[in-house]
Amino acid sequence: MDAIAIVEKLNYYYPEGKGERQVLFDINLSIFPGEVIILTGESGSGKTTLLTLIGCLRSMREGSLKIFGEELLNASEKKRMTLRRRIGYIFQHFNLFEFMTVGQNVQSSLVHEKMLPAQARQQTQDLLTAVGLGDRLNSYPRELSGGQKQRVAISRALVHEPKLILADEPTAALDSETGRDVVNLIRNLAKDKGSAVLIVTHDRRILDIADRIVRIEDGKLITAYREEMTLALPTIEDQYFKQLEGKYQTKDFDPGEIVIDEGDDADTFYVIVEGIFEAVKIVPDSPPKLLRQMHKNEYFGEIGLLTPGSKRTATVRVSEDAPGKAIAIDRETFASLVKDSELTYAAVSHQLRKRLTDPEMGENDPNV
Amino acid sequence: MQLRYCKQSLAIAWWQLRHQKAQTLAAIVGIAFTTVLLFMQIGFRSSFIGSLVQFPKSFDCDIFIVSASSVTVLRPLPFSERRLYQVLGVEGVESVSPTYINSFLWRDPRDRSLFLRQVMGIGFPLNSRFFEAPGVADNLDKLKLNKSVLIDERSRPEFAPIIDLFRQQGKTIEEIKTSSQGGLHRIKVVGLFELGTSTSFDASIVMSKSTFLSLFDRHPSQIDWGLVRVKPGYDVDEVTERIREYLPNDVRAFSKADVLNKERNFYEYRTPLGLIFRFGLLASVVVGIIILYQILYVKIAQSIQEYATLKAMGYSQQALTLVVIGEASILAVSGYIPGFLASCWMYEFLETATQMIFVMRLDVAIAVLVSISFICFVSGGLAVGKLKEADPADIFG
Ligand SMILES: Nc1ncnc2c1ncn2[C@@H]1O[C@H](COP(=O)(O)OP(=O)(O)O)[C@@H](O)[C@H]1O
Ligand SMILES: [Mg+2]
Repeated sequence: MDAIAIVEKLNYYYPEGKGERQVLFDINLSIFPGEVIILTGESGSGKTTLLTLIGCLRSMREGSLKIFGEELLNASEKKRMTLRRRIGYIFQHFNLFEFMTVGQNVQSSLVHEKMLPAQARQQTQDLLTAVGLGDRLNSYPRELSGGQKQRVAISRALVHEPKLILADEPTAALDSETGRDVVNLIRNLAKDKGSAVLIVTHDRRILDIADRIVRIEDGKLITAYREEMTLALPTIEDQYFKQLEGKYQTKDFDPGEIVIDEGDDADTFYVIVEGIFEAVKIVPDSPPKLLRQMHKNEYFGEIGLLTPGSKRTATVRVSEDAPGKAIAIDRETFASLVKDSELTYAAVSHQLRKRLTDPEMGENDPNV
Repeated sequence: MQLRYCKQSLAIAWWQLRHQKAQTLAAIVGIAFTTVLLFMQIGFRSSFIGSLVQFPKSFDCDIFIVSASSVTVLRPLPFSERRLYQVLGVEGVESVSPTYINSFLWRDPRDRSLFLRQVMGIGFPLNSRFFEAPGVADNLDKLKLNKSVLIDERSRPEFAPIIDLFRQQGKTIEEIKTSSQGGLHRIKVVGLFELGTSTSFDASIVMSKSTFLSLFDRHPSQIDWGLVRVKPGYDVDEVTERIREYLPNDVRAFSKADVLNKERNFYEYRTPLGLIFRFGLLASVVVGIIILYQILYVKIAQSIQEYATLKAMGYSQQALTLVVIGEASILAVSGYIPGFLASCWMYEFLETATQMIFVMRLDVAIAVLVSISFICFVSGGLAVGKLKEADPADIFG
């Protein structure tokens, strides 16, 4: 599948005083159709800058950035303007047009489409009905609540069915429940149309809607391990992750590579970040028996760690099809994590119980 | 730009104006005010010039002959009657007639110690039939009596008591003063005619040549204007040229069209009045531009985020420019209409108040509309510069 956006070796600088200051360093990122990516990072780390570059809102300086297959380096203002018509934008402060009704706001995105006014009205009406605002077509934005405004803004960003949707802190001005509804709405509408979504957010409570999380630190893009772990262990609290800082490693595995051998000492806990991992039972003189496939955000190796001195009960390897990536946490760190946080313990036991009650998997679980 | 973009831009212009009603209303009032100002300037100017030429226009002749020493035809100095009769020898001339003009003072009927100024006396041979102001031909017989005059019923209001008195009594005896020492005379107002005033006279009377000569103590051979009619089939300019060649250069001949033009141009370019008019016109336009620019600028500044969002959504610079120009045009039209109506009312009011002619002419109405449109386009064009500050890169800020 062709990527919607491909960022390669991108650098960006802002003028500062007489010189300039680099804010983005060697960014590489591909966005694929239908994918929901969350971009996190401290304030001032360069998230918005990257978003405006991908959104064709700012001219490039260095590197390569292809949107819908079109190179943006040295692209004319006119070309960027035309590309922008194929992107949907969602803002923290909604940026609705106060002087237009809800319907006119949404329909303002359709001006670039060659369609009859009646059709544009129908499409607007249908989408607003889908987001639950079918009866507010003639209201003005000032008459709406924050959540309703954001739903109008989302409709405006999606009504022309862009293949790329960019959102900067879309929940920051909303309460947590409304924020959740809003990102779910973005995700569902985008998935329906196979559009890719890139959401910049600080909001940890919405991380789970992502298919992938990336993080910018001081202008450099990294895989967001901490956030990935939050997804894997949803009940863990932020403060424990802070303790974890620096105490884990990410490991890359080749396709088919063995991660854990049956019978080894159990000393590491893994959270899957990328690829498919398989738990297998090696049976002599026959092909290995597949016990279970594990995906992103699942973890393995925890049971051995809970009982000191135990051995691995199964082999885990990376699937033959693609490389894998996992976060590895050693026994000591894991123990402190579990000891300090009952919630984590609860989560771990929950996953364990789930596996045990799954009749086929239970008896053969590598960790049991 | 494609039609759907134009429609959308104009719709946005309309929605924005409708959204900020108070501001829009202020803009409309500003433009209406500018419209009224322009109509007043132009109205005064054309009424002023119109009334200046009303007088020479009232003569049914083709060519005027005046003394070479006169600055304008309307301020003639006397010259010898002989010159006029010489003209009869020129090919194409049908007939000639002298006209006598002099200004004098009129005893104020309301305060007999004072005199009203700027009254014009017009005299001509009663059989000449050159002066065609309404009412003159009907009353010629009454002028045969010595010291009988007709008074212009469209004289300025201070002369109204005299006209009223005449209307009540059918005649009235008045006292006038025709020279700085003495020169007091009694005249009898025996009828009315219609001419209208101008800036150089507030009232006028007509009388026979003999009455004129006796009132103004003028030598009979000294005339102010020589009027010439050209035979049908002859070109007026050619005949004028021939007269010029024929006469010595102590007198000058001008075609009537030429006189009217010269008169207009003289006031337009040689007196401060014309300059004041042009300056007033320019000032109104500049003030209009500043008012509207100010309003449009503030509107754009207030909506800068919205314009940036539109740009982010792929609206072109032209589309946004059209929004601003659309707003300017809507304001122009909706300011012009009440301004026009107010001006019509003002014209009517001024016509009764000043006895000068104020007509709402189509060409003036169009000229003012064009000026207002010009104001809107210039101010819109200036305000569009502010749009550059709407940077789509800032929208996520
Ligand atoms: N228009 C600008 N001009 C100069 N510096 C800027 C501008 N916008 C952002 N910056 C700086 O660039 C850095 C990255 O900013 P930004 O991309 O907005 O970060 P984030 O969205 O992650 O908070 C910050 O240090 C910020 O101060
Ligand atoms: Mg930001």
